[in-house]
Amino acid sequence: MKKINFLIGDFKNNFSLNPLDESIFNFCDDLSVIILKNKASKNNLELFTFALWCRKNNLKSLARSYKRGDIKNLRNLGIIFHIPPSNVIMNFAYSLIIGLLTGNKNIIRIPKKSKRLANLFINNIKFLKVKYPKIINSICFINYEHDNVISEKISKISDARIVWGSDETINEFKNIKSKINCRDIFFSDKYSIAIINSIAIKNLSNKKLFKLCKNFYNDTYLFDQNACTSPQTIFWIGKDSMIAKKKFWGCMEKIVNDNYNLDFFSAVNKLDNLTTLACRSNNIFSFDNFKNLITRVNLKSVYDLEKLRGNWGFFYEIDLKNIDLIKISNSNKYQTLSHFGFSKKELFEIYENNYLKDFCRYVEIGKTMEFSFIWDGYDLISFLTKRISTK
Amino acid sequence: MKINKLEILNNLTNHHLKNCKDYKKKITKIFNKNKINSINDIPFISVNSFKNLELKSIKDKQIHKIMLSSGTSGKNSKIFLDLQNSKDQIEVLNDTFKKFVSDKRVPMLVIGRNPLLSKKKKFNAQTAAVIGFSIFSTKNFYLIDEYGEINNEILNEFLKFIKKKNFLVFGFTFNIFDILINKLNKKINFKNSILIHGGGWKKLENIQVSNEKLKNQLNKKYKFKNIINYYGLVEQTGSIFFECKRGYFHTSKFNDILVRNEKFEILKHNKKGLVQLLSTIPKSYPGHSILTEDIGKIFGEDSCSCGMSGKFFKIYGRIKKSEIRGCSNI
Repeated sequence: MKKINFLIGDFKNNFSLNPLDESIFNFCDDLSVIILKNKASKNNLELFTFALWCRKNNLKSLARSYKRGDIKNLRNLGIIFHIPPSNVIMNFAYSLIIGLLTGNKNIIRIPKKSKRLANLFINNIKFLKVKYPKIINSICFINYEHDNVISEKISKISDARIVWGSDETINEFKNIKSKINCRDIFFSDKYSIAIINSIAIKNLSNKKLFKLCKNFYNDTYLFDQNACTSPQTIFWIGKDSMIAKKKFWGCMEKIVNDNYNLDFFSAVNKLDNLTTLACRSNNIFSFDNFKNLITRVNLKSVYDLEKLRGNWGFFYEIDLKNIDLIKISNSNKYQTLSHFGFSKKELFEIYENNYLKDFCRYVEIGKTMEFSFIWDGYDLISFLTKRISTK
Repeated sequence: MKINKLEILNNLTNHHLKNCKDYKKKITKIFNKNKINSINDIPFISVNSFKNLELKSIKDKQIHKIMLSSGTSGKNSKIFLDLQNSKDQIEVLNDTFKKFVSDKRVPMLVIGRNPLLSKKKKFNAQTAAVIGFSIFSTKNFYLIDEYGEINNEILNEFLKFIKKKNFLVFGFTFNIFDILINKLNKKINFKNSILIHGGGWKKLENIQVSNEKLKNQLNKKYKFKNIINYYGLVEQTGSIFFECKRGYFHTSKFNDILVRNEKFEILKHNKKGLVQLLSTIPKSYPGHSILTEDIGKIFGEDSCSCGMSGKFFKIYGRIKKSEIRGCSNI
């Protein structure tokens, strides 16, 4: 068996925390303050964003659907084995917080690419050792060369496993034996879209347009469209979509040109993706390419939607007169639908639309990456706790 | 007869537009039909195109050979050659070789196996290179046997055969390093020999041996009369670039190079960027203008201190895979 390297903590589960206990929220709030005070951490975009997210007020609001009476009936599960993905380097911290809030002991396998961040993170939580000994003891970060024997050993002491992808890792873990009553969450590869109201764009002031585009940039370019939540296809709904697109992409061109750092590898891959599509697909009207920075594929129909993929600013688009014309094939790969410019009533129609029912997150453009406790169809608090019943 | 390179390349573009459907789809959808005023405006396709698609401008019955390149991603490039294209490759190589290396035919020691032992119609870059360079050889000797071991009998036979005559040594760069530097334990004096090597970049990059370092090690151990590196694509076999005595690759009337930035805009000389290679040979497949995945820099045109004409340039290896930009949340 290969060696397990412990970055912090051990496998012992001596203490027990109550789910959503006030002390855990306080710990998170203190952690947020420490990170924001620490120069090295504050300057790190990932840690900075995390620190804002893990403030007490925010976490309380994310857990607001759990009332005092419910909380009393929740018990932790025991040990959770977290397997964060290698392409989302800060995921381990978010996964940890949900594990702590549900009162569990957390063993987290830190991906190689996250190790530097994990060490920075550990430097911050060390300050909280005296004040929150129980919580610190519920944290264990490890890494090891991928080895099924080790994974099985940990799986056999775990009461839940959360595997954040990739599909390959999920399949690996499905074949690894675990405790008989171990709960598993497998977050597989997902596909996301955006829906924009063309008329709303047409009537938008330049200032508001810029804000919207900046938000869209953060949803997509900030992480090269790698996140599952990042839209690949944009549906333009309503009249005047040509005008709306011209306005929207015109503003995007400026933002992307000023902010995005395209490298050779991405440029060549975008060209390959585009040329392969040009030859293989009969589903394409036209292409638009702005300096290799914004590549747009104008579709005739949305046949096989989930297969239309792009990175580094590669978008598929289709214009529809109204939302009822949206007809996409069913898929269990759909995840986030981000939207702009719809009234409450129209949004309600979108949620109710039969063709869009496979999506499980509906958020405004700019909020696709905001992590919450309802994720990908799971109520994570409920899944990672036991609810007792009394009569 | 003075050959107008631009005209030949433009004719090739038109020829492939007419005869290769997939090429037409690619080019017409992606490139604007602006007037082509210079080599810079000639449309290009990426080198991976030959991995993802079967691109050919001939009918199936005209296929003479299919050339394969080993892809790092596991996918092979497929190049379809008709008889004329194969002949043109050899003719151009012959012409270039005479100009840059030597015009005398001499015996050749190949640092590799005999590719002709496998009689498949499909063949790879290594085979093509050995066959190509064989036209300068009076007799080939293959240092490596069918089991991948050094064949000492052949080596002795070869040394007896050449005595003090001039000869060529040829091999893929990685094999030269692996076999001549690492494995061969015999002190041989190669002072009557020119060593030609090229290709096999991917493996060499892993062990991080630069061209200069390799040259020094080879000179120390074997004292070659001359060591010449060459550069080219399997997709443009024949119109390869030889290194001059100052260590630069030179273009000829059969090929050209352009360097582009991330936005595919043309870069001025002395700037590193993505290499686009042009060749006047490919007629049976649309490979006359290809965007590679190599990084290069052009130092000038017709002004190399070696005295030879053409653009002169260096290659700095492959583009690196992007680091994944991690997202803050999920």
